[in-house]
Amino acid sequence: MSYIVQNGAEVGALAFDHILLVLTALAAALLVAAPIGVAAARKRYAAPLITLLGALYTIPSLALLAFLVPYTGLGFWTAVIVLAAYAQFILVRNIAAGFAGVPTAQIETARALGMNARQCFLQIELPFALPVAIGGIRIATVSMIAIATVAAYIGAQDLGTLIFNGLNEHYTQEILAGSIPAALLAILADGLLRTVERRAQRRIA
Amino acid sequence: MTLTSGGAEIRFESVGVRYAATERPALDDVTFAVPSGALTVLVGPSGGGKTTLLRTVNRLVAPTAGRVLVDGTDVASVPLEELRRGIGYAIQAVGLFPHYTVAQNVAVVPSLLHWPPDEITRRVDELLRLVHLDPARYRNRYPRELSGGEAQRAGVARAIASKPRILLMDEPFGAVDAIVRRSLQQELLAICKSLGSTILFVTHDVDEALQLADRVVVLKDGRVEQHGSVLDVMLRPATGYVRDLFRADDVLRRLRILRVGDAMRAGEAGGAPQIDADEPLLHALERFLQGERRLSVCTQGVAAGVLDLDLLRAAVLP
Repeated sequence: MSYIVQNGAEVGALAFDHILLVLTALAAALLVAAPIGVAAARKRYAAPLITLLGALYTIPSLALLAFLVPYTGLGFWTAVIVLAAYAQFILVRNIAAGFAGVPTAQIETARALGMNARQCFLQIELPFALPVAIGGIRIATVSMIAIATVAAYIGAQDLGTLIFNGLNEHYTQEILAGSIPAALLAILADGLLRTVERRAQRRIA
Repeated sequence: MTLTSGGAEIRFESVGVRYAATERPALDDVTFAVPSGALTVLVGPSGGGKTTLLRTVNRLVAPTAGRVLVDGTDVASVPLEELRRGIGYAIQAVGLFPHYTVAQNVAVVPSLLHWPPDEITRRVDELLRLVHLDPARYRNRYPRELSGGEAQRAGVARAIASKPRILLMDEPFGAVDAIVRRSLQQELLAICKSLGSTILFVTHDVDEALQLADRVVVLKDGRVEQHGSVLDVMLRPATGYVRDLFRADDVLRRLRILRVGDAMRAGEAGGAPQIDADEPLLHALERFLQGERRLSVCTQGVAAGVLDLDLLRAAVLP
């Protein structure tokens, strides 16, 4: 642990960069996945679409990063694209499942009381779909925190930077200084989102 | 304060609903009128078309033939949300939104209609009192914190919140256990009736519904088997199915279901003991067996007619 103690400021800064990278990627991923997931919940072509995203999910992250570098260059934004691409499968699948699982009777009652499609979506469907969707956000976030360490290989600054430096210099302390905070971040995010998920679930119980 | 602006008349004109060209139609040439302010009960076997017919009124189902008129206006010509916000709708317990409090549930339609907030608050309290849920205790509860009966009360309060001229009720008491249901159904239907709305009520439970119905419509295989008063379907069943459904030959059933008002004749019975016109004939028979010879029938305390044993016999053994 001596490396972490001596280089606290550096580890802290990289952890901050790590969080920033994951949050940016998550926001970008949600912007894409939310409309696709909502549409997939209603339409018949949902299954093949999710299979396609599942195939994307099986490409090794390092390979995808290497593949993108000639097009998008080294650094932060390439990492954002790859992380967001990985998150698509989990996010679209869960958002679609969340909206597909809204009880028909609830939607029908809302419409029968005179809500238009938009009011029904915001006031009824969204709260019902939220727990499963948040479950997807949780799993996606945890995987992105892990994959983000690999993104350091193509020049993104984050906790992975410490791991790769440590690997190059055969310096175990530095490897641990990158991997332990990354693991803690993942555990923390998981716990936090689990709480939010439970709260959303309780609302509709 | 008046709670509704009076009931609307509903007319079904040759209404047909066909989901697929090959299948038997869900509704076939249904024609009848629901008079303003009356409680009309739709009965019949499941799959007979009761719920489908109910849903053509608020356009959850669109007829493939014929039309539905409310006060002479084709419902298809009214903007959808406007139409629905003017029609109360109550279904089984699942109808309450679990993430809304009781007050928020009851306030759904007034909110959609953009009532001022303080008026909504006043209205919600008024409605909760009407269905006997103490506002102070129940306003901020969630549906999961209610018993089945309390949830039904809240559901009915929501259905009547915007003073609808039409109230559609699709087995709203189906999820409540049988013991509670009888009294709850009686009580809530009486409240709804007192509001003056035109009520269309779908049920499996023939006995209980008949006790409050003004008109009965029997639907089977998408067709109207019979449309008439309680007296008509009990004493003059149009088909064998209707006779079996109401077990109309059973004299004891007639005594339980037919009301004093159905058997009385107009006139004065000076000094005779009083009985309410809405009580079942069985209660009158009990009085006769106890030695009364004549009863003075009253509606809401006002003398309306006379009943004696002969009149009672004529009604149950025509």
